[in-house]
Amino acid sequence: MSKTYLRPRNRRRVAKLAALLLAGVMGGTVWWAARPFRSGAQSPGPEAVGIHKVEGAVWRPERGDLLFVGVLGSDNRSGPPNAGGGCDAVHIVAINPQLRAGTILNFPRDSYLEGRKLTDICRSAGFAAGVDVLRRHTGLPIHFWAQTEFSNFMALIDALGGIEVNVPQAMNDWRSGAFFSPGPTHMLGGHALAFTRNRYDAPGGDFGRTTNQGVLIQAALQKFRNESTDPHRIFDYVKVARRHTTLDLPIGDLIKLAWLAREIDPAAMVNVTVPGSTGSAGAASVVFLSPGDTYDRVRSDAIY
Amino acid sequence: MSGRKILIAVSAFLAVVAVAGGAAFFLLRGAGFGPFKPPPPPPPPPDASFQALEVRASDAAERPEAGQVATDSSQKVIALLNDYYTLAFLRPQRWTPDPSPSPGEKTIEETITEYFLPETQASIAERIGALSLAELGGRFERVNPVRQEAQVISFHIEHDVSAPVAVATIYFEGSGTTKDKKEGPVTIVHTATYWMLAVGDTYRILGYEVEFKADTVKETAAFGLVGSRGPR
Repeated sequence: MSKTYLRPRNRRRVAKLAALLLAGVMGGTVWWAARPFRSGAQSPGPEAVGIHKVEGAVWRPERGDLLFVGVLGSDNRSGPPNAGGGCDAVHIVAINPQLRAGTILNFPRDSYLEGRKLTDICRSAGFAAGVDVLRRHTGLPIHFWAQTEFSNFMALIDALGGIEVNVPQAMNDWRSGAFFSPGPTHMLGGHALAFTRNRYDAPGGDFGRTTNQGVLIQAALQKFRNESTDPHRIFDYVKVARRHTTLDLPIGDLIKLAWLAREIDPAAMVNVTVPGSTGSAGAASVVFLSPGDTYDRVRSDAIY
Repeated sequence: MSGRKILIAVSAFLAVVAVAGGAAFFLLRGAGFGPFKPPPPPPPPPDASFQALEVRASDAAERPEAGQVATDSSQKVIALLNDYYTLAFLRPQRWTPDPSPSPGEKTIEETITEYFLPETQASIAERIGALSLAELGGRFERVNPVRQEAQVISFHIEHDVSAPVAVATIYFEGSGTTKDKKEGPVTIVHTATYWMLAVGDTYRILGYEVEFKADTVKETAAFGLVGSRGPR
Protein backbone atom coordinates (compact mmCIF):
# COMPACT_ATOMS: atom_id res chain seq x y z
CA MET A 1 0.00 0.00 0.00
CA SER A 2 1.51 3.32 -0.96
CA LYS A 3 1.34 6.42 1.16
CA THR A 4 0.49 9.84 -0.11
CA TYR A 5 3.63 11.86 0.02
CA LEU A 6 3.62 15.65 -0.12
CA ARG A 7 6.65 17.63 -0.90
CA PRO A 8 7.58 20.19 1.80
CA ARG A 9 6.46 23.06 -0.47
CA ASN A 10 3.07 21.54 -0.96
CA ARG A 11 2.82 20.73 2.72
CA ARG A 12 3.20 24.44 3.46
CA ARG A 13 0.52 25.28 0.93
CA VAL A 14 -1.88 22.80 2.45
CA ALA A 15 -1.13 24.12 5.92
CA LYS A 16 -1.86 27.66 4.80
CA LEU A 17 -5.11 26.60 3.17
CA ALA A 18 -6.14 24.71 6.29
CA ALA A 19 -5.31 27.73 8.43
CA LEU A 20 -7.34 29.99 6.17
CA LEU A 21 -10.23 27.55 6.24
CA LEU A 22 -10.09 27.33 10.02
CA ALA A 23 -9.95 31.11 10.32
CA GLY A 24 -12.93 31.41 8.02
CA VAL A 25 -14.94 28.92 10.05
CA MET A 26 -14.02 30.61 13.31
CA GLY A 27 -14.76 34.06 11.95
CA GLY A 28 -18.04 32.92 10.56
CA THR A 29 -18.95 31.40 13.88
CA VAL A 30 -18.12 34.61 15.71
CA TRP A 31 -20.06 36.64 13.14
CA TRP A 32 -23.06 34.32 13.44
CA ALA A 33 -22.99 34.39 17.23
CA ALA A 34 -22.78 38.17 17.20
CA ARG A 35 -25.77 38.62 14.94
CA PRO A 36 -28.16 39.69 17.74
CA PHE A 37 -25.94 42.69 18.38
CA ARG A 38 -25.62 43.95 14.84
CA SER A 39 -28.19 46.71 15.18
CA GLY A 40 -29.02 48.64 12.09
CA ALA A 41 -27.80 45.93 9.72
CA GLN A 42 -29.64 46.13 6.43
CA SER A 43 -32.94 47.63 7.36
CA PRO A 44 -35.49 45.87 5.16
CA GLY A 45 -37.69 48.90 4.73
CA PRO A 46 -40.84 50.17 6.39
CA GLU A 47 -43.10 47.29 5.30
CA ALA A 48 -41.28 44.78 7.48
CA VAL A 49 -42.80 46.03 10.71
CA GLY A 50 -46.27 47.38 11.10
CA ILE A 51 -49.41 47.96 13.05
CA HIS A 52 -52.58 46.97 11.26
CA LYS A 53 -56.27 47.23 11.92
CA VAL A 54 -58.21 44.00 11.47
CA GLU A 55 -60.67 44.49 8.67
CA GLY A 56 -64.16 45.08 9.99
CA ALA A 57 -63.04 45.41 13.59
CA VAL A 58 -64.65 48.22 15.57
CA TRP A 59 -63.15 49.53 18.78
CA ARG A 60 -64.89 52.35 20.62
CA PRO A 61 -62.92 53.19 23.75
CA GLU A 62 -65.33 56.02 24.51
CA ARG A 63 -67.89 53.27 25.12
CA GLY A 64 -65.49 51.35 27.32
CA ASP A 65 -64.87 48.62 24.73
CA LEU A 66 -62.27 46.01 25.67
CA LEU A 67 -59.19 46.00 23.44
CA PHE A 68 -57.44 42.97 21.95
CA VAL A 69 -54.17 43.37 20.03
CA GLY A 70 -52.17 40.61 18.38
CA VAL A 71 -48.38 40.96 18.64
CA LEU A 72 -46.36 38.74 16.31
CA GLY A 73 -42.62 38.58 15.69
CA SER A 74 -41.13 37.13 12.55
CA ASP A 75 -38.11 34.85 12.55
CA ASN A 76 -37.05 36.45 9.31
CA ARG A 77 -33.55 37.84 9.59
CA SER A 78 -34.11 40.48 6.92
CA GLY A 79 -36.78 41.42 4.45
CA PRO A 80 -40.53 41.68 5.05
CA PRO A 81 -42.00 39.08 7.41
CA ASN A 82 -44.50 37.93 4.84
CA ALA A 83 -41.68 37.00 2.50
CA GLY A 84 -40.95 33.62 4.05
CA GLY A 85 -40.88 34.40 7.75
CA GLY A 86 -42.70 32.35 10.38
CA CYS A 87 -44.29 33.61 13.59
CA ASP A 88 -41.47 33.29 16.11
CA ALA A 89 -43.36 35.22 18.80
CA VAL A 90 -47.11 35.16 19.23
CA HIS A 91 -49.10 37.13 21.82
CA ILE A 92 -52.50 38.65 22.35
CA VAL A 93 -52.60 41.73 24.57
CA ALA A 94 -56.03 42.17 26.16
CA ILE A 95 -56.84 45.44 27.92
CA ASN A 96 -59.78 46.63 29.98
CA PRO A 97 -59.64 50.44 29.65
CA GLN A 98 -61.95 51.10 32.57
CA LEU A 99 -59.91 48.98 34.97
CA ARG A 100 -56.59 50.00 33.41
CA ALA A 101 -55.54 46.39 33.57
CA GLY A 102 -55.35 43.38 31.31
CA THR A 103 -53.65 40.20 30.24
CA ILE A 104 -50.77 39.30 27.97
CA LEU A 105 -51.55 35.89 26.47
CA ASN A 106 -48.50 34.07 25.18
CA PHE A 107 -48.57 31.25 22.62
CA PRO A 108 -45.69 28.91 21.76
CA ARG A 109 -44.78 29.30 18.12
CA ASP A 110 -45.25 25.58 17.48
CA SER A 111 -48.85 25.73 18.68
CA TYR A 112 -50.81 23.23 16.62
CA LEU A 113 -53.96 24.95 15.30
CA GLU A 114 -56.32 23.95 12.50
CA GLY A 115 -54.05 21.08 11.53
CA ARG A 116 -50.87 23.12 11.24
CA LYS A 117 -48.19 24.81 13.31
CA LEU A 118 -48.98 28.47 13.80
CA THR A 119 -45.49 29.49 12.71
CA ASP A 120 -45.97 27.62 9.44
CA ILE A 121 -49.34 29.26 8.84
CA CYS A 122 -47.62 32.64 9.08
CA ARG A 123 -44.79 31.47 6.85
CA SER A 124 -46.98 30.19 4.06
CA ALA A 125 -50.13 32.31 4.27
CA GLY A 126 -48.93 35.48 5.92
CA PHE A 127 -49.25 37.10 9.32
CA ALA A 128 -52.81 38.28 8.72
CA ALA A 129 -53.78 34.64 8.21
CA GLY A 130 -52.05 33.77 11.46
CA VAL A 131 -54.10 36.43 13.24
CA ASP A 132 -57.29 35.03 11.74
CA VAL A 133 -56.43 31.58 13.05
CA LEU A 134 -55.81 33.02 16.49
CA ARG A 135 -59.15 34.83 16.43
CA ARG A 136 -60.99 31.65 15.54
CA HIS A 137 -59.11 29.55 18.04
CA THR A 138 -59.49 31.88 21.01
CA GLY A 139 -62.79 33.54 20.17
CA LEU A 140 -61.19 36.87 21.08
CA PRO A 141 -62.15 39.82 18.86
CA ILE A 142 -58.69 41.02 17.89
CA HIS A 143 -58.94 44.64 16.75
CA PHE A 144 -55.34 45.38 15.77
CA TRP A 145 -52.18 43.42 15.25
CA ALA A 146 -48.55 44.46 15.32
CA GLN A 147 -45.77 42.62 13.53
CA THR A 148 -42.05 42.92 13.89
CA GLU A 149 -38.89 41.19 12.75
CA PHE A 150 -35.30 41.01 13.90
CA SER A 151 -33.57 44.06 12.52
CA ASN A 152 -36.46 46.47 12.83
CA PHE A 153 -37.19 45.21 16.33
CA MET A 154 -33.67 46.09 17.34
CA ALA A 155 -33.74 49.42 15.49
CA LEU A 156 -36.96 50.42 17.24
CA ILE A 157 -35.56 49.74 20.68
CA ASP A 158 -32.29 51.48 19.87
CA ALA A 159 -34.15 54.51 18.52
CA LEU A 160 -36.01 54.78 21.81
CA GLY A 161 -32.81 54.61 23.84
CA GLY A 162 -33.12 51.05 25.06
CA ILE A 163 -35.48 49.44 27.52
CA GLU A 164 -35.37 48.34 31.18
CA VAL A 165 -36.22 44.66 31.53
CA ASN A 166 -36.55 42.75 34.78
CA VAL A 167 -34.74 39.54 33.83
CA PRO A 168 -36.51 36.75 35.73
CA GLN A 169 -33.65 34.26 35.84
CA ALA A 170 -29.98 34.01 34.90
CA MET A 171 -29.32 33.32 31.23
CA ASN A 172 -26.25 31.88 29.56
CA ASP A 173 -27.16 30.80 26.05
CA TRP A 174 -24.60 31.15 23.27
CA ARG A 175 -27.16 30.25 20.59
CA SER A 176 -29.29 33.32 21.19
CA GLY A 177 -26.55 35.43 22.70
CA ALA A 178 -28.52 35.80 25.93
CA PHE A 179 -26.12 36.36 28.82
CA PHE A 180 -27.92 38.07 31.69
CA SER A 181 -27.99 38.15 35.45
CA PRO A 182 -31.43 38.22 37.05
CA GLY A 183 -32.88 41.61 37.92
CA PRO A 184 -33.36 45.00 36.24
CA THR A 185 -31.25 45.24 33.12
CA HIS A 186 -30.95 48.05 30.59
CA MET A 187 -31.10 46.48 27.14
CA LEU A 188 -30.44 47.87 23.72
CA GLY A 189 -32.02 46.24 20.69
CA GLY A 190 -29.55 43.39 20.35
CA HIS A 191 -29.80 42.44 24.01
CA ALA A 192 -33.59 42.57 23.93
CA LEU A 193 -33.66 40.34 20.87
CA ALA A 194 -31.37 37.80 22.52
CA PHE A 195 -33.53 37.84 25.66
CA THR A 196 -36.66 37.09 23.66
CA ARG A 197 -35.06 34.41 21.51
CA ASN A 198 -33.49 32.36 24.28
CA ARG A 199 -35.29 29.02 24.64
CA TYR A 200 -32.51 26.59 25.40
CA ASP A 201 -31.73 28.32 28.68
CA ALA A 202 -35.28 29.34 29.60
CA PRO A 203 -37.37 27.24 32.01
CA GLY A 204 -39.86 25.24 29.95
CA GLY A 205 -38.00 25.82 26.70
CA ASP A 206 -40.37 27.37 24.21
CA PHE A 207 -42.96 28.03 26.92
CA GLY A 208 -40.36 29.91 28.93
CA ARG A 209 -39.25 31.87 25.90
CA THR A 210 -42.74 33.04 25.09
CA THR A 211 -43.27 33.99 28.74
CA ASN A 212 -40.12 36.12 28.59
CA GLN A 213 -41.45 37.81 25.47
CA GLY A 214 -44.44 38.80 27.58
CA VAL A 215 -42.01 40.25 30.13
CA LEU A 216 -40.56 42.41 27.36
CA ILE A 217 -44.03 43.65 26.38
CA GLN A 218 -44.61 44.68 29.99
CA ALA A 219 -41.26 46.48 30.00
CA ALA A 220 -42.20 48.34 26.82
CA LEU A 221 -45.47 49.48 28.36
CA GLN A 222 -43.64 50.69 31.46
CA LYS A 223 -41.14 52.65 29.39
CA PHE A 224 -43.87 54.32 27.39
CA ARG A 225 -45.82 55.15 30.52
CA ASN A 226 -42.78 56.68 32.20
CA GLU A 227 -41.90 58.83 29.22
CA SER A 228 -45.33 60.02 28.17
CA THR A 229 -46.32 61.90 31.34
CA ASP A 230 -45.65 64.88 29.06
CA PRO A 231 -48.36 64.29 26.44
CA HIS A 232 -46.27 66.00 23.78
CA ARG A 233 -43.68 63.21 24.07
CA ILE A 234 -46.10 60.72 22.65
CA PHE A 235 -45.27 62.18 19.26
CA ASP A 236 -41.65 61.04 19.73
CA TYR A 237 -42.94 57.48 19.78
CA VAL A 238 -45.22 58.09 16.83
CA LYS A 239 -42.25 59.52 14.95
CA VAL A 240 -40.11 56.43 15.64
CA ALA A 241 -42.99 54.14 14.73
CA ARG A 242 -43.53 55.99 11.48
CA ARG A 243 -39.85 55.81 10.65
CA HIS A 244 -39.50 52.08 11.25
CA THR A 245 -42.94 50.67 10.60
CA THR A 246 -46.01 50.74 8.46
CA LEU A 247 -48.99 52.12 10.38
CA ASP A 248 -52.01 50.69 8.66
CA LEU A 249 -54.68 52.22 10.87
CA PRO A 250 -56.42 55.59 11.22
CA ILE A 251 -54.34 58.20 13.02
CA GLY A 252 -57.18 58.72 15.51
CA ASP A 253 -57.01 55.02 16.48
CA LEU A 254 -53.24 55.29 16.87
CA ILE A 255 -53.67 58.21 19.28
CA LYS A 256 -56.28 56.30 21.26
CA LEU A 257 -53.94 53.31 21.51
CA ALA A 258 -51.21 55.65 22.72
CA TRP A 259 -53.56 57.11 25.36
CA LEU A 260 -54.43 53.65 26.55
CA ALA A 261 -50.80 52.54 26.72
CA ARG A 262 -50.06 55.67 28.71
CA GLU A 263 -52.71 54.96 31.31
CA ILE A 264 -52.22 51.24 31.81
CA ASP A 265 -50.19 50.15 34.82
CA PRO A 266 -47.90 47.39 33.49
CA ALA A 267 -47.94 45.79 36.93
CA ALA A 268 -51.67 45.29 36.38
CA MET A 269 -51.02 43.32 33.19
CA VAL A 270 -51.00 39.60 33.96
CA ASN A 271 -48.48 37.65 31.91
CA VAL A 272 -50.05 34.27 31.03
CA THR A 273 -48.64 31.56 28.79
CA VAL A 274 -51.36 29.31 27.44
CA PRO A 275 -50.71 25.88 28.89
CA GLY A 276 -50.09 22.91 26.66
CA SER A 277 -47.87 19.93 26.01
CA THR A 278 -45.33 19.02 23.39
CA GLY A 279 -45.98 16.21 20.98
CA SER A 280 -45.80 15.21 17.38
CA ALA A 281 -48.04 15.66 14.41
CA GLY A 282 -46.64 13.45 11.74
CA ALA A 283 -42.94 14.23 11.61
CA ALA A 284 -43.35 17.70 13.11
CA SER A 285 -42.70 18.58 16.72
CA VAL A 286 -45.70 20.59 17.87
CA VAL A 287 -47.39 22.03 20.95
CA PHE A 288 -50.91 20.96 21.75
CA LEU A 289 -52.58 23.80 23.66
CA SER A 290 -54.77 23.11 26.71
CA PRO A 291 -56.26 26.52 27.42
CA GLY A 292 -59.01 25.35 29.80
CA ASP A 293 -61.06 28.45 30.66
CA THR A 294 -58.24 30.87 29.83
CA TYR A 295 -59.90 32.36 26.78
CA ASP A 296 -63.33 32.61 28.45
CA ARG A 297 -61.88 34.51 31.38
CA VAL A 298 -60.03 36.93 29.15
CA ARG A 299 -62.95 37.39 26.76
CA SER A 300 -65.32 38.56 29.48
CA ASP A 301 -63.30 41.46 30.89
CA ALA A 302 -59.75 41.10 29.48
CA ILE A 303 -58.56 40.01 32.93
CA TYR A 304 -57.19 36.51 33.55
CA MET B 1 -110.48 142.15 20.25
CA SER B 2 -108.61 144.22 17.75
CA GLY B 3 -106.03 142.66 15.41
CA ARG B 4 -103.27 144.41 17.17
CA LYS B 5 -104.11 142.90 20.48
CA ILE B 6 -104.39 139.46 18.91
CA LEU B 7 -100.94 139.83 17.37
CA ILE B 8 -99.47 140.90 20.71
CA ALA B 9 -101.12 137.90 22.46
CA VAL B 10 -99.85 135.39 19.93
CA SER B 11 -96.35 136.81 20.02
CA ALA B 12 -96.29 136.66 23.78
CA PHE B 13 -97.50 133.03 23.72
CA LEU B 14 -94.82 132.04 21.22
CA ALA B 15 -92.18 133.76 23.28
CA VAL B 16 -93.24 131.88 26.41
CA VAL B 17 -93.18 128.57 24.52
CA ALA B 18 -89.75 129.32 23.12
CA VAL B 19 -88.32 130.20 26.50
CA ALA B 20 -89.88 127.19 28.20
CA GLY B 21 -88.74 124.83 25.45
CA GLY B 22 -85.22 126.16 25.51
CA ALA B 23 -85.04 125.80 29.26
CA ALA B 24 -86.34 122.27 29.06
CA PHE B 25 -83.81 121.45 26.35
CA PHE B 26 -80.87 122.60 28.40
CA LEU B 27 -82.13 120.95 31.53
CA LEU B 28 -82.72 117.57 29.86
CA ARG B 29 -79.49 117.67 27.92
CA GLY B 30 -77.57 118.26 31.08
CA ALA B 31 -79.19 115.16 32.58
CA GLY B 32 -78.20 113.13 29.61
CA PHE B 33 -81.62 112.73 28.10
CA GLY B 34 -82.77 113.59 24.62
CA PRO B 35 -81.53 112.67 21.17
CA PHE B 36 -78.61 115.02 21.16
CA LYS B 37 -76.43 113.25 23.72
CA PRO B 38 -77.15 109.53 23.88
CA PRO B 39 -75.71 107.61 26.81
CA PRO B 40 -72.37 105.91 26.08
CA PRO B 41 -72.82 102.33 24.88
CA PRO B 42 -71.42 99.53 27.01
CA PRO B 43 -68.08 98.20 25.75
CA PRO B 44 -68.45 95.12 23.50
CA PRO B 45 -67.67 91.80 25.14
CA PRO B 46 -64.06 90.81 24.48
CA ASP B 47 -62.98 87.93 22.25
CA ALA B 48 -60.36 85.40 23.17
CA SER B 49 -56.93 85.97 21.66
CA PHE B 50 -54.50 83.17 22.42
CA GLN B 51 -50.78 83.43 21.82
CA ALA B 52 -48.74 80.34 20.91
CA LEU B 53 -45.62 80.33 23.08
CA GLU B 54 -44.03 77.25 21.53
CA VAL B 55 -44.81 75.24 18.40
CA ARG B 56 -43.20 71.82 17.91
CA ALA B 57 -43.04 69.58 14.86
CA SER B 58 -42.41 65.87 15.26
CA ASP B 59 -41.34 64.75 11.84
CA ALA B 60 -40.42 61.14 11.06
CA ALA B 61 -38.46 62.22 8.00
CA GLU B 62 -36.72 65.19 9.65
CA ARG B 63 -37.51 67.62 6.87
CA PRO B 64 -36.79 71.34 7.06
CA GLU B 65 -40.30 72.22 5.89
CA ALA B 66 -41.88 70.47 8.86
CA GLY B 67 -41.35 73.52 11.04
CA GLN B 68 -43.22 75.79 8.64
CA VAL B 69 -46.05 73.27 8.36
CA ALA B 70 -46.35 73.25 12.12
CA THR B 71 -46.30 77.05 12.30
CA ASP B 72 -49.01 77.36 9.66
CA SER B 73 -51.12 74.66 11.31
CA SER B 74 -50.75 76.32 14.69
CA GLN B 75 -52.77 79.27 13.39
CA LYS B 76 -55.70 76.94 12.82
CA VAL B 77 -55.38 75.60 16.33
CA ILE B 78 -55.26 79.14 17.69
CA ALA B 79 -58.37 80.01 15.70
CA LEU B 80 -60.18 77.04 17.23
CA LEU B 81 -59.09 78.00 20.74
CA ASN B 82 -60.14 81.61 20.24
CA ASP B 83 -63.60 80.65 19.00
CA TYR B 84 -64.08 78.09 21.74
CA TYR B 85 -62.92 80.21 24.67
CA THR B 86 -64.81 83.27 23.46
CA LEU B 87 -67.99 81.29 23.61
CA ALA B 88 -67.24 79.16 26.65
CA PHE B 89 -65.84 81.83 28.98
CA LEU B 90 -66.30 85.34 27.58
CA ARG B 91 -70.04 85.34 26.89
CA PRO B 92 -71.52 84.82 30.37
CA GLN B 93 -74.90 86.27 29.40
CA ARG B 94 -75.41 83.44 26.94
CA TRP B 95 -75.43 80.89 29.72
CA THR B 96 -78.71 82.26 31.00
CA PRO B 97 -81.38 80.32 29.10
CA ASP B 98 -83.38 82.41 26.69
CA PRO B 99 -87.04 82.20 27.75
CA SER B 100 -88.12 82.79 24.14
CA PRO B 101 -85.56 81.23 21.87
CA SER B 102 -85.92 81.66 18.14
CA PRO B 103 -86.91 78.53 16.22
CA GLY B 104 -83.84 76.58 15.18
CA GLU B 105 -81.54 78.67 17.34
CA LYS B 106 -78.84 76.58 18.96
CA THR B 107 -78.06 76.75 22.63
CA ILE B 108 -74.56 77.74 23.61
CA GLU B 109 -73.92 74.18 24.73
CA GLU B 110 -74.92 72.86 21.33
CA THR B 111 -72.60 75.35 19.65
CA ILE B 112 -69.67 74.45 21.89
CA THR B 113 -70.21 70.76 21.16
CA GLU B 114 -69.48 71.40 17.49
CA TYR B 115 -65.85 72.09 18.31
CA PHE B 116 -65.48 68.41 19.22
CA LEU B 117 -65.36 65.38 16.96
CA PRO B 118 -68.61 63.38 16.71
CA GLU B 119 -67.23 60.48 18.76
CA THR B 120 -66.40 62.91 21.57
CA GLN B 121 -69.57 65.03 21.52
CA ALA B 122 -71.57 62.71 23.73
CA SER B 123 -69.07 63.38 26.51
CA ILE B 124 -69.71 67.12 26.66
CA ALA B 125 -73.06 67.34 28.45
CA GLU B 126 -71.98 65.79 31.74
CA ARG B 127 -68.61 67.56 31.67
CA ILE B 128 -69.79 70.99 30.62
CA GLY B 129 -69.08 72.41 34.06
CA ALA B 130 -65.38 71.76 33.57
CA LEU B 131 -65.33 72.81 29.94
CA SER B 132 -66.97 76.24 30.28
CA LEU B 133 -68.64 78.74 32.62
CA ALA B 134 -71.85 76.73 32.29
CA GLU B 135 -74.24 77.53 35.13
CA LEU B 136 -71.70 79.91 36.68
CA GLY B 137 -72.21 82.16 33.68
CA GLY B 138 -75.41 83.56 35.16
CA ARG B 139 -73.38 84.99 38.05
CA PHE B 140 -71.29 87.26 35.87
CA GLU B 141 -72.08 90.47 34.07
CA ARG B 142 -68.85 90.31 32.16
CA VAL B 143 -65.64 88.30 31.93
CA ASN B 144 -62.43 89.91 30.69
CA PRO B 145 -59.48 87.81 29.58
CA VAL B 146 -56.30 88.37 31.56
CA ARG B 147 -53.90 85.72 30.28
CA GLN B 148 -54.33 83.46 27.27
CA GLU B 149 -51.48 81.15 26.38
CA ALA B 150 -51.16 78.15 24.14
CA GLN B 151 -48.05 77.10 26.04
CA VAL B 152 -47.10 74.27 23.69
CA ILE B 153 -48.70 73.15 20.46
CA SER B 154 -47.20 69.95 19.02
CA PHE B 155 -47.84 68.42 15.64
CA HIS B 156 -47.04 65.03 14.19
CA ILE B 157 -45.93 65.58 10.59
CA GLU B 158 -46.84 62.78 8.22
CA HIS B 159 -44.84 61.53 5.24
CA ASP B 160 -46.99 63.72 2.97
CA VAL B 161 -46.06 66.78 5.09
CA SER B 162 -49.55 67.07 6.51
CA ALA B 163 -50.24 67.69 10.18
CA PRO B 164 -53.21 65.45 10.97
CA VAL B 165 -52.94 65.48 14.73
CA ALA B 166 -52.05 68.10 17.31
CA VAL B 167 -51.72 68.43 21.06
CA ALA B 168 -52.16 71.80 22.72
CA THR B 169 -51.47 72.65 26.36
CA ILE B 170 -53.18 75.87 27.30
CA TYR B 171 -53.62 78.32 30.15
CA PHE B 172 -56.56 80.72 30.30
CA GLU B 173 -57.23 83.26 33.03
CA GLY B 174 -60.10 85.69 33.13
CA SER B 175 -61.52 88.24 35.56
CA GLY B 176 -65.25 88.02 36.12
CA THR B 177 -67.39 91.01 37.15
CA THR B 178 -70.37 89.72 39.07
CA LYS B 179 -73.90 91.01 38.79
CA ASP B 180 -73.93 91.37 42.53
CA LYS B 181 -72.05 94.63 42.98
CA LYS B 182 -71.11 93.72 46.53
CA GLU B 183 -68.84 90.97 45.21
CA GLY B 184 -65.40 91.81 44.01
CA PRO B 185 -63.89 90.50 40.78
CA VAL B 186 -63.62 86.71 40.49
CA THR B 187 -60.53 85.08 39.03
CA ILE B 188 -61.36 82.33 36.57
CA VAL B 189 -58.61 79.88 35.57
CA HIS B 190 -58.92 77.13 32.99
CA THR B 191 -56.02 74.82 32.15
CA ALA B 192 -56.27 72.12 29.53
CA THR B 193 -54.60 69.66 27.23
CA TYR B 194 -56.49 69.13 24.00
CA TRP B 195 -55.88 66.38 21.45
CA MET B 196 -57.09 67.45 18.04
CA LEU B 197 -57.49 65.90 14.63
CA ALA B 198 -57.48 67.81 11.37
CA VAL B 199 -60.91 68.00 9.76
CA GLY B 200 -60.86 69.74 6.42
CA ASP B 201 -59.16 73.08 6.88
CA THR B 202 -59.55 73.18 10.65
CA TYR B 203 -59.11 71.06 13.75
CA ARG B 204 -61.60 69.45 16.05
CA ILE B 205 -61.09 68.13 19.57
CA LEU B 206 -60.72 64.38 19.97
CA GLY B 207 -59.83 64.22 23.65
CA TYR B 208 -59.12 66.51 26.57
CA GLU B 209 -57.95 66.89 30.14
CA VAL B 210 -59.20 70.08 31.75
CA GLU B 211 -59.38 71.86 35.07
CA PHE B 212 -61.61 74.82 35.87
CA LYS B 213 -61.34 77.03 38.93
CA ALA B 214 -63.35 80.05 40.00
CA ASP B 215 -63.36 81.05 43.67
CA THR B 216 -64.13 77.91 45.63
CA VAL B 217 -65.45 76.11 42.57
CA LYS B 218 -63.16 73.50 41.03
CA GLU B 219 -64.10 71.09 38.25
CA THR B 220 -61.89 68.59 36.44
CA ALA B 221 -62.72 66.34 33.53
CA ALA B 222 -61.02 64.14 31.00
CA PHE B 223 -62.29 62.33 27.99
CA GLY B 224 -60.86 60.18 25.24
CA LEU B 225 -58.25 59.07 27.69
CA VAL B 226 -58.53 55.98 29.79
CA GLY B 227 -59.88 56.90 33.16
CA SER B 228 -62.16 59.54 31.71
CA ARG B 229 -63.58 61.63 34.50
CA GLY B 230 -66.92 63.31 34.77
CA PRO B 231 -67.88 66.34 36.82
CA ARG B 232 -67.43 66.22 40.55
